[in-house]
Amino acid sequence: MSSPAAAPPKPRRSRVKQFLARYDRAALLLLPALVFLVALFIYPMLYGVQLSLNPAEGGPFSNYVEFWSDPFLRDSVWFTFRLAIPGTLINVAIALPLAVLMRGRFRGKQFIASALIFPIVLGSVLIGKGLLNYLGPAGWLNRTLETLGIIDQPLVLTGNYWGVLLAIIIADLPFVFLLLLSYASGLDEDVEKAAAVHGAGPWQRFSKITFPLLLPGLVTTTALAFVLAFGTFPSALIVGDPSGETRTMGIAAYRAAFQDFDYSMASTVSMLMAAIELLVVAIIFALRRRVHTPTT
Amino acid sequence: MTTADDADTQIGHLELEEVTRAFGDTVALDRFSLQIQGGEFVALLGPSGSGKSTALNCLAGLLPLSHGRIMLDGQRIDGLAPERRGFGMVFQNYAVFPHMTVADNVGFGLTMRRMPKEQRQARVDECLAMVRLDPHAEKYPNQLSGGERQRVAIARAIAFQPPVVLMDEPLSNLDAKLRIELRTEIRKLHQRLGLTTVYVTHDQSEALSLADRIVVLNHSRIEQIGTPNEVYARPANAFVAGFMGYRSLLDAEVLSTRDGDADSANVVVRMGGVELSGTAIGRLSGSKASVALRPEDVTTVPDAGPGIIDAVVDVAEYTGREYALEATSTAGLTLFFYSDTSHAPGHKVHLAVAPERLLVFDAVHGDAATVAAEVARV
Repeated sequence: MSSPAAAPPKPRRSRVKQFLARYDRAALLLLPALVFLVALFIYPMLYGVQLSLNPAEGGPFSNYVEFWSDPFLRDSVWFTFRLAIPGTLINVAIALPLAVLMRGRFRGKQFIASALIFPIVLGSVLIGKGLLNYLGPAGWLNRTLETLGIIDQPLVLTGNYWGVLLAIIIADLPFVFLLLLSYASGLDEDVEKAAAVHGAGPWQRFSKITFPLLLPGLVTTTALAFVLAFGTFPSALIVGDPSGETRTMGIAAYRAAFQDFDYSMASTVSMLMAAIELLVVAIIFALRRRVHTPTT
Repeated sequence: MTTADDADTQIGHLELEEVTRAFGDTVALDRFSLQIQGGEFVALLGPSGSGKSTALNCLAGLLPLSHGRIMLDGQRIDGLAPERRGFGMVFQNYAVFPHMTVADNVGFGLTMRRMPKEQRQARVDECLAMVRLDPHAEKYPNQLSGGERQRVAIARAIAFQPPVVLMDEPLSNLDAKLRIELRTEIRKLHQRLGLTTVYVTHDQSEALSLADRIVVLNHSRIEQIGTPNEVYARPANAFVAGFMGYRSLLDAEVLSTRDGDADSANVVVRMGGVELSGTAIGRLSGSKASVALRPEDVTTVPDAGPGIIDAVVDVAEYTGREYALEATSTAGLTLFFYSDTSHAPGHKVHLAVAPERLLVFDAVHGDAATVAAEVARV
């Protein structure tokens, strides 16, 4: 820069130029992502809110009032939670030890990891149909158990709660496992080695070192697993009892839209679903903040 | 802490017998045998991949042995899990517990040993004072600098008065100034507590300044075991010489050897056209040999003559106390030496080496360039 005394008077710049000068031009690269976000998320979301507030009859909130006063609709909240909470906890409980154990190098690791992740490529419809065959009254499971003389009557695992719960576990476990594995792989192995040398046995190493260090990741994973399980829809329809105990909110919305052709009510159910998920995730993350987690 | 406490945990001796570790076909540590006396500070020194960390991990119980035994005061310990050996360990990357306070980190070994809370508290305070971290007791590791974290790790490793403390390149992640400071602190702690220590490093100055005994490793094998002075003044072979600061490693031809006189001026070699008398270390099997020279043993003399190397200065660096110079002889040999006076590049010098400081080694490790490449593998 030349000295201020010799500087010529500054030319006046337009406001737009002044604005642009303050931002890095590279920020413009965000534009496509922003367009997608608005077109595919924000607009449909707002459209849904608007639809839900324009019911076929009554005031703007009458759909919301109806949802909470009609037991058929209201109970779907309970049915969804009844599947999502155990589904989430079971998935996390299965994935946690697997993720911790799968960090090391050992024979057959690749095979086990592939087997755990494979269900990702199966669509939820395929999983549902497969379970129907496998768990049905004349399916392999019941026939095997009957042949072995363990049961007289076939176990009823389809067309009810259990089939859907199993479908949630099979379809969501790979995601939960992968996410936890990435958190677990990020832990410094030397920290656990230090614990071992200084006197911690395998259980103490897990409970005092690995688990506390994994806790923040575990909370995030739990939130994701819950959202996945809460949205269960195809399996609830295929292996479940969609008019009874697996009448989840997803099914309630689907019915409203494609059986009653009440798009406004379907939107209302969807908005409530989103609100409940958001609330649960918020609670989970509020709990996370109470756990002391230094960064390094 | 009282000296009586220390005496209780003092070991008689630790013995490694032919400890071998193989991963598939590659042998990471080959028949490593070493006897360590209680209270001794032993440094394992070598370039990366020499097996020094493998030896330490075998000792810690973090790697199973493929062959061999480890005996602690007559008890076989190589089958024990790391938590059953009762050792302390310091890692290169600190490996402090990030979710625990400094005090809890230091007290970890004591908690694992179910020491009552008040006693533990007192012991933790004592150790924190020893590493000068007492004001930071309630902080978390991420609030500390690298040097402070490593001091936490050191306090953690000594808090429960382990029979053996293992250190795996504890200073490698620190900057030069801090490295020297902490090195002195480790030395002080050892002088004060007398804990038997096995220290892994690739830095010869660390090994020389800290250890009572140095084990030099290369290619998974022990090259030499000796006191710092033995290893520095009488390296067993060209590789050890190169690793211990003999900067000039040169190819030479053996002209004559004189038997009987084992220690000085027992060999005449020709090196770059100049005939020099030197000291052979070990048996020379053929006419080819490697000569190792330390910069401090090369001196300038006023005139040319027999046994004097004529050279031209290439680079002169001022080190503060003296000048470090690099020169090339008329026959193309590169020599390093120190001088109180500066020599401009291009200046002609006459260099002499005392026969007892011109070490001649059998060329078993290959020619000088090969050995130099081995040494540089840090």
